[in-house]
Amino acid sequence: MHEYSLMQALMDKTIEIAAEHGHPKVERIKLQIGELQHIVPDILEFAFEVMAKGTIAETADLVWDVVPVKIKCQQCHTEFEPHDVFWVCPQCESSGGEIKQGDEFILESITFVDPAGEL
Amino acid sequence: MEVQVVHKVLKANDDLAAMVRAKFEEYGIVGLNLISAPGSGKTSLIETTLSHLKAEFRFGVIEGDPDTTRDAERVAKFGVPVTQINTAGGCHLEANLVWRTLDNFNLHNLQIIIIENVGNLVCPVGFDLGETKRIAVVSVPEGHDKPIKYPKLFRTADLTILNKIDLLPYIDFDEAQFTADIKALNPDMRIIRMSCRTGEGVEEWLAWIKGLVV
Repeated sequence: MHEYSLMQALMDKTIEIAAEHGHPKVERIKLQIGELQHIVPDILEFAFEVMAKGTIAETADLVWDVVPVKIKCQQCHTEFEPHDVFWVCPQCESSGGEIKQGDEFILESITFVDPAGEL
Repeated sequence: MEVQVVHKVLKANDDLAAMVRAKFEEYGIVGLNLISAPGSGKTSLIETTLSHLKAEFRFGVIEGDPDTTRDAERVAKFGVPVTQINTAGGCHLEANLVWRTLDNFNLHNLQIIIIENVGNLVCPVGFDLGETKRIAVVSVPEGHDKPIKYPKLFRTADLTILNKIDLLPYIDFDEAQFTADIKALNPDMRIIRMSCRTGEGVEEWLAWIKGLVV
């Protein structure tokens, strides 16, 4: 259900940026979503559909890249993509570590409809 | 036309959480964020805490629930200031809700604010509230597999309370596995075993809280 909160924040930011740039219509919204966000794609898409309705993003496409998890081992500082929930380091086999990537939910870019293309 | 943005979508929440944290620090308040599944005993834990420590420390409580003021009513019986946040079905608290709620308290007069999050092991974990410490509460009947199924909570919490340990003789709860999984997720995690019903482990919990107050 946190998808709805994220989507609300995303819509607020999208509308704010559109106003700043003086664009009346959004064509595409591109995100980066880390695996650790535990996003359910169907829920996110449905939240977008519901919240974009009646806004400048109503007909926009929502797309995203999934960012894989990367951990820095706290013992030997090796960076690795974990293969299990315990983040076991392939070098020294200790578990846990610092998240280097994979926890983000980032609005990467917004594509606005080119007014000329509307004609 | 594509506009590059690169904006952290939860930045608004993170900014408000930083404001809450700064406010707590300004007033020397310890903020505790209790996260658990529904029914793990968070409110009982708060009641137990208040019954032992309310004479020694000045508490405030923020109760988060989708509906009703039942928890706030239970806590209000202890004579401490309490505010109920109803999320109207929402599954977690966010920093803006906590920030607005702080206006209801006389912060000069408080040392510890306990925030009882909405019962949910997923969504509350993603929203920093500006707490000083995050506490995971798990009760024995929920099963020993909770840490491995909801790892993010246990990676980010500062303390885990294993509650309702008086039920261990009646339930197939593999405590060794539970502890091993938590330690693998978060080697520094402290686990306090307790039962609000029998009082076992309560002293250890109270000592932990006392250690946080300057």
